[in-house]
Amino acid sequence: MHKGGWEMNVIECKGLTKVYGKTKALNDISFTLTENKITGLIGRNGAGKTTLLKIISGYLKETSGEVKVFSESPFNNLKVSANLIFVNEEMSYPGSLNLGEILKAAATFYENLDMELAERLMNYFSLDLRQYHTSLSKGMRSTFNTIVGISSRCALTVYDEPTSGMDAGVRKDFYRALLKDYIAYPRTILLSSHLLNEVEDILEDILLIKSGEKYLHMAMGDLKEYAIALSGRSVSITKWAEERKVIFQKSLGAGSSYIVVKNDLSALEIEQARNEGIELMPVSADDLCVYLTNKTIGGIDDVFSRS
Amino acid sequence: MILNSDSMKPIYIQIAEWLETEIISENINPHQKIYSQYQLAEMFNINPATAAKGLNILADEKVLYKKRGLGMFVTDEAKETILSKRKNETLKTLVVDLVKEADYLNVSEIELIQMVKDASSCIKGDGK
Amino acid sequence: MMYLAEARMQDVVKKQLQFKLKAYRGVFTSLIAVQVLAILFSLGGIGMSGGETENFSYEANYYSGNIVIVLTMLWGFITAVLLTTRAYRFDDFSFVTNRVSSNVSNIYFLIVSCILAGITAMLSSFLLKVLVISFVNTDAFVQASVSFPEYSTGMIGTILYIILFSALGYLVGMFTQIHKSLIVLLPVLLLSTLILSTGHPELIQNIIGFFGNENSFLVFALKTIITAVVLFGASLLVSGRMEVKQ
Repeated sequence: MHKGGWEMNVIECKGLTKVYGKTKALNDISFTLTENKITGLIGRNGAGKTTLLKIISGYLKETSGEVKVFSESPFNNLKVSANLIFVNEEMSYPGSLNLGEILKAAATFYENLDMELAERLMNYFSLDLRQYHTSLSKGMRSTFNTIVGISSRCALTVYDEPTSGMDAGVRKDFYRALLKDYIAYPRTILLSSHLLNEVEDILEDILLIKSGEKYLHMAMGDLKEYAIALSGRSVSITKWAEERKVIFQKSLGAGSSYIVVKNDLSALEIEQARNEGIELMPVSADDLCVYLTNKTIGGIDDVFSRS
Repeated sequence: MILNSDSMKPIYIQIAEWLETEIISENINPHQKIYSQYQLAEMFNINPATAAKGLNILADEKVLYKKRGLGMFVTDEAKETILSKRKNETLKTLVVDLVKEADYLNVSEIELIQMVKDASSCIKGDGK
Repeated sequence: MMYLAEARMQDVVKKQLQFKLKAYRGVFTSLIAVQVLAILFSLGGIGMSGGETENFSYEANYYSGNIVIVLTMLWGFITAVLLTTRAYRFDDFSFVTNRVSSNVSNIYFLIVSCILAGITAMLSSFLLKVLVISFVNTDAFVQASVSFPEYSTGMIGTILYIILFSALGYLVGMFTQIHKSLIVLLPVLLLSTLILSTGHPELIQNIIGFFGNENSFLVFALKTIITAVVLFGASLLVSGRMEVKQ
């Protein structure tokens, strides 16, 4: 179902740029998301994640470039709106309606909404249908919004930091619920988060953006093999660092260093490095994303080093 | 088995290894259907594509075979293949690491062999 | 091929209207409050005249339902402004919508509310008469005995006036949403026109006269309807490119 055959493009961006006043929130972003994949949108605060998601959802209009959702421009588009749900912490509902009434209203708009699932999830997460959205705590409000997001079963489900305010248990439960319902009813899911380790297992692809620009778009599995860490005596490490692009570097005490480089070492080179007493280690996806989105290759340590 | 996300091994390798263990311990026998990518995804809380990658590794190694529209099944020679692979690859790397570490700590070859023998008799002795 | 839901404009607008009639019930509560308040004001009488001769004194109080109608028009204006505020506009975006369907359903909602408000406004002037006769002034004279056709045109006229005001409110509200400075600029502009026009009262009089001095009800109805359509249409144009920013 996921592989083989031709896959339809759900989102296509070409040279997408968004300017607020004088600042470029998004700069020349191009990527394509195919049908029925869970993609993680990862980036630091202010990288442009929310702006990108809002343009895809038709909330904001792109300044230049092209954006297509279900092959149509999403701004002011009813068809896109009917097949897309955008879940973020700013979701607002009329204060006069209780949660049960909001769900009923949602069901009239989203024809695939599974009310029974919504009610079972509400019950599991101790939400009462008679409560009001505004009276919920931040975490509970996020929980309710994500319940609407899962149970509406839109062809494209967009989550912007869906777990903000939730406690660790609820986060885990939410991601599991999302995965289970995705397996039962495959759909395209785009999920932004700055906590990659929380979501990496359920992602198929990752889209990493840095300062409004696309940095990487690849399969999650490939990202885990994208870089390799070398650790050992500085003398030998420096030689290795010279020949390739260093993603991250750190000195460990006197005379030893730790560097992260792109993993294009041949088997021979690996053997050679081992023989020089260099330890080779994989880099976790979470760390790698932090390193890739750091402003400098030393990260925060560079602020404190005065040499 | 709960997956170890801090492990050096990618998740799909861990999935493949878990399936291998199921086959070696004869929980799943030749010509039986193995878990689908969706079942594995649910069991381990991972993306179905990751689970599929684990299954495909085993298919490439002829541990599993595909039946169109029916899923993947265990081959006749699955157990044998896995055992010889583990002997030739996993065990060999472990031994290389062991020798390197011994060398680093100035442990002589004779000393190392003695340590292996001790460990072996200790484990086998416990088994009795 | 993935299955995509079809979304026809008229279906979405219908769903949004149903949703709004339920969700914005507060609008009707405020209508009732405004009209009750207006009746209470009216009970004091809007005018009084009296006279005295040597052995005879008289006092006349005038009662009128006009306050109810004027306050209802004001209610229509404010309700329309309210619908253009962020909170209300963003509510639509939590479900299926685009800017046109959101506005069209708002306009339908306003028209439905205004019709209701017009009917209750006319009924409350009845209520006023009854209240005056039974409690305040038992010697009341009911001046106007109105025939049913006259009464219906009166009601339709009231409704049209309320719609006109809400259409104006909707446009004003939409302008202030485009740029915050218009919240200050619009009243300033309005006041300065008023002040400037004190020397030339023709302008305001002309505007009021354009609707009020019309002798033919049909022409009046046509004038108000066309004006309301123009005002609502302008709001649609103004809001078409508005983004949803928090």
